[in-house]
Amino acid sequence: MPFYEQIQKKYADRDVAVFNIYVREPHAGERGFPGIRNHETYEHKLGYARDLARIKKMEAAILVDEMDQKVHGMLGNLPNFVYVIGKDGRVVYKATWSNAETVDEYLADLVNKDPAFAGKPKLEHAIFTAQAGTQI
Amino acid sequence: MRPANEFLRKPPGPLFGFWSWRYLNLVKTIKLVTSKRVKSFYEKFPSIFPPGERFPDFALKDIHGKTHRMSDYLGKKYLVITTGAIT
Repeated sequence: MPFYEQIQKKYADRDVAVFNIYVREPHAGERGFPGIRNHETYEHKLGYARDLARIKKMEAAILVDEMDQKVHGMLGNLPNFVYVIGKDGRVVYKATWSNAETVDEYLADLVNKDPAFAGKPKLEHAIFTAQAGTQI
Repeated sequence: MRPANEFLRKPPGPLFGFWSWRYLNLVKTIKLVTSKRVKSFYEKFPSIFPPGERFPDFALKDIHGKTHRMSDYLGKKYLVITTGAIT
């Protein structure tokens, strides 16, 4: 199970939404998927995004960026960025390369401080491990 | 007349061959240019929506065709936004 699926599962009852934006194939034709080409049309891209959900067993929402990469450009154009946003709509943490354990630390601290979950047990920082046979 | 692919592989003449090889090797040139482009993205990244700033609103369709508007989530939920790809 990919790391962000584990995060989604851990924070399922803590008002956390995880979004994966499907932007581009950074290594088209490499990494054990030689059949993957660069996107030609939106439908082509959408098909790959569906394959991504199937191959990596992703349950979190996969948003498909438009062909002009408008949203990806707005958010910094990096291949594996991550943003953590608080309940006030402000950015809490951002990184050029996403690390699920760091994201988990920030989320756990945010959620544990939230008065809305005062009655719920405090969440510990987790160490995420990939299941055997799952490509991350 | 030499075939084009042989010309690309081994251009004629000592000096001409040396310089033209640099420019004809498009793969290397493109990689060089894109690496500079990527570097500029990394340099710009910290100044785009730094911690403490409001996250922008945008709307994108998910793989099932449902539109997700960020303003529906901002201020109500904690959000984790990242990217994914097959390769």
